Amino acid sequence: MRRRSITLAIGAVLVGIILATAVVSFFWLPYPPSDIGGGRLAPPSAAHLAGTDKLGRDLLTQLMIGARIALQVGAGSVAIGGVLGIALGLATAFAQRWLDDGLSAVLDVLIAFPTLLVAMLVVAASGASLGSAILAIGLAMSAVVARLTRILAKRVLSLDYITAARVSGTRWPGLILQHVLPNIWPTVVVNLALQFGLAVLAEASLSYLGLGSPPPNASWGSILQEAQGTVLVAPIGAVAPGVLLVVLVIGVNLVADGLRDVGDPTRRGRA
Amino acid sequence: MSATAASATAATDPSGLVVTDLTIRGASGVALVDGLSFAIAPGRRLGIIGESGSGKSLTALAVLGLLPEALVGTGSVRLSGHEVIGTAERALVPLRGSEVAIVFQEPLTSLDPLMRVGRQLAEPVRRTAARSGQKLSRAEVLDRVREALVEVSLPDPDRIASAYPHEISGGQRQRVAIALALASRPKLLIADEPTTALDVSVQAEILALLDRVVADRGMALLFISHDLAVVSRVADDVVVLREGRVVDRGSLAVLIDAPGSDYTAELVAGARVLDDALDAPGRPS
Amino acid sequence: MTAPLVQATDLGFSYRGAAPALADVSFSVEAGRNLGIVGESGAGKTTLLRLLLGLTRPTMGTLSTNGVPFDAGDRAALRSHRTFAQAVFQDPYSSLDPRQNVGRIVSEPLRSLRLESRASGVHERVAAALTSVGLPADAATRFPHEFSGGQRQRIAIARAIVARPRLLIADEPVSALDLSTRVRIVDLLSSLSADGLTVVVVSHDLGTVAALCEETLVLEKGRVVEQGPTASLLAAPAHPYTQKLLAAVPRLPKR
Repeated sequence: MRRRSITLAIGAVLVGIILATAVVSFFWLPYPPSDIGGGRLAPPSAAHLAGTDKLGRDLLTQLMIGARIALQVGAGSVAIGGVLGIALGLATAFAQRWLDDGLSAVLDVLIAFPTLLVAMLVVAASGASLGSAILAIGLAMSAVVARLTRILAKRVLSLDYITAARVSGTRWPGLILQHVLPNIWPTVVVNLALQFGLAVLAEASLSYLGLGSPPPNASWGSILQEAQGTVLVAPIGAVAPGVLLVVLVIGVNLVADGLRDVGDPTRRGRA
Repeated sequence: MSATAASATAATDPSGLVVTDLTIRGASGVALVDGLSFAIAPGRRLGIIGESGSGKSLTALAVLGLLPEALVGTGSVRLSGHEVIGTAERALVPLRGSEVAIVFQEPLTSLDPLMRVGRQLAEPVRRTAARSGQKLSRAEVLDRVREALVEVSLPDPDRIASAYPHEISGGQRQRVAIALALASRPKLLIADEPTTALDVSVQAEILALLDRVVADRGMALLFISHDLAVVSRVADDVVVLREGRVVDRGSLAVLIDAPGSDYTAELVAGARVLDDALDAPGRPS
Repeated sequence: MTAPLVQATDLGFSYRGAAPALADVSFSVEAGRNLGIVGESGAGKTTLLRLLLGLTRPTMGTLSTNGVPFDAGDRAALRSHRTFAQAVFQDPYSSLDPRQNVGRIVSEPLRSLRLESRASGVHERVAAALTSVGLPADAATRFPHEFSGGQRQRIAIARAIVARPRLLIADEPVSALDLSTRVRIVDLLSSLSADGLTVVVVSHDLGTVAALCEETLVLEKGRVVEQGPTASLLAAPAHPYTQKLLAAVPRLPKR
């Protein structure tokens, strides 16, 4: 219990740093994103704390915008993947045998496809933009979330309190809202937090492959890709976005780990 | 007090099982079993009666030296003179099987689901033979496995031997579990609620089987159950445990007539209500 | 003459493509005469229980309640069946939702069947139900894990009686409990049935059935092998299977 809360605190601090950076970026940036007056590939200095990129744009400005984008990607795709995945998972858990078998087979095929491949297909079809990246990652995520939800819901549905609820006159919307969701929620939330980290990484990969949103509103992945060619001259352009990515993903994972026990009445007030 | 008398006589006898002042503590230091003493001479039987949380199953694990890591046992458990408490795992391994074996409540979880029944039985058969310096041929192992299955009254032993645990009934699985426990020729058999998961008619058969094999082999039996009537079928002498402490001990027939504690009286009265109902059905008032 | 509470005629059920789990089961439950349904695993007890609760529809035969044919596929009929028959299950550890407090658990029939619209009414009826099963009314704010097995079974019984059903169907209500608790729950069910509730007990334990039920029905492999008043059935079992079951019951040494 003690260790859990320490985990949660460290995770919250790491995520908090990124979140604060993103929030600040809406109100204040060191330079306008498109300002190219800094001189190409300038090293860190008082004027440009993180130096500049190969077009002379301030790197710190880009990294701050990147934080905003990373969080948008995480939150957006978790929202899409979570809602879609949970709905699909519950539907298969409640469905008749044949429908369950059919949908489960589709989910298995989707999961077998690497997230990145699914995302690349969607992005290729709808054009490279932040929105289509989020949509693509969310769709790929929904298959994983759906399968987890299905397994958890099936286990809950087999318990006597569900039969008791049916005998009490509770119908399926009530079963889902009052019994199934509250009982699978902790595990699903932890999983969604993990998926958040994976989504940020996936977007970075997409950007790195040139399928993300282009600069000046660049994600960390794009910055990384841009800086790749000049990594020996100006390493900070490649290192900084990588470090921030790791900080966010580790932070989110720690939070997920720490969240496991919170909100479970069976672990509260136990002697 | 008869408790001290029983342990005193037992202490002078190095054979059999002698448990003296066994205390088992949890991580928080609370005593789950508190100062338990009892003894079973070779070939004798003892029932431990207790409800959930009485510490009866922990006692069984302590006798086997199988207490979970988080629990600490103190006091003394001697199996044919060998001390179990505080003895290293390596030194205990040879005792298990040859000195003591156990049958659990749920046969489905005590058998390996991925191994055919015959192969599971072959292991202790081979090990037991090796202990006495014998090297058995394949055919000899098969013969002994079949004998073991016949001994626990399993019909069609060849079919059972080639079946996986989930392919046979619950009663048959418990017979296999008993055959497994017997295969290494233990001097003491521990049965921990061995019939609780079974149907009534199967329970009667398993109790009769335990009664017979223990008598045939001259083994000692430690029978653990919450059910007075079930215990009375296989053991005369009992220890009544409540929250880790002995509240009563002696002959079950005597205790039923004249319980030595309020708790035993309550247990007997409860059992009596349902037992009497069979002779004179009607709602309790 | 009033119609029996429940009348089952040639009731049967088979899963698709399988041998019938239940066949030709006929019996009636008269108000005030508790029925014990006795059988071992595979006897079809659980299937019969599901039919009686309207959780599954029979594939053969008919079921009537209060003289009216009951069709579990008819939504209105099912709703009124829920106010007529309620259930208690074997395992009090899995029959209560661990994330709901006792008040919410017990009030579920009232809320789901919309039997009580006022919050204060729900509160009063939950408190009354808890009191009648021997639990303090303040138990409502606590969670199931704070209670022992016997107390949890009392909570389950409170949920079953809160909507004041005529029939209580209990599936092995005491077999997961310690012996001393068992008798107290049997006593509780007995006193509830003295108050106008009729109890159907599904059990493998003849002692519990004998203590609670005026009528007994013995099931073997999905068929009724013997039925009649409990006293005469136990005193002179006619069918070999009943005789075998009775002989198998472990008895205390005679006084």
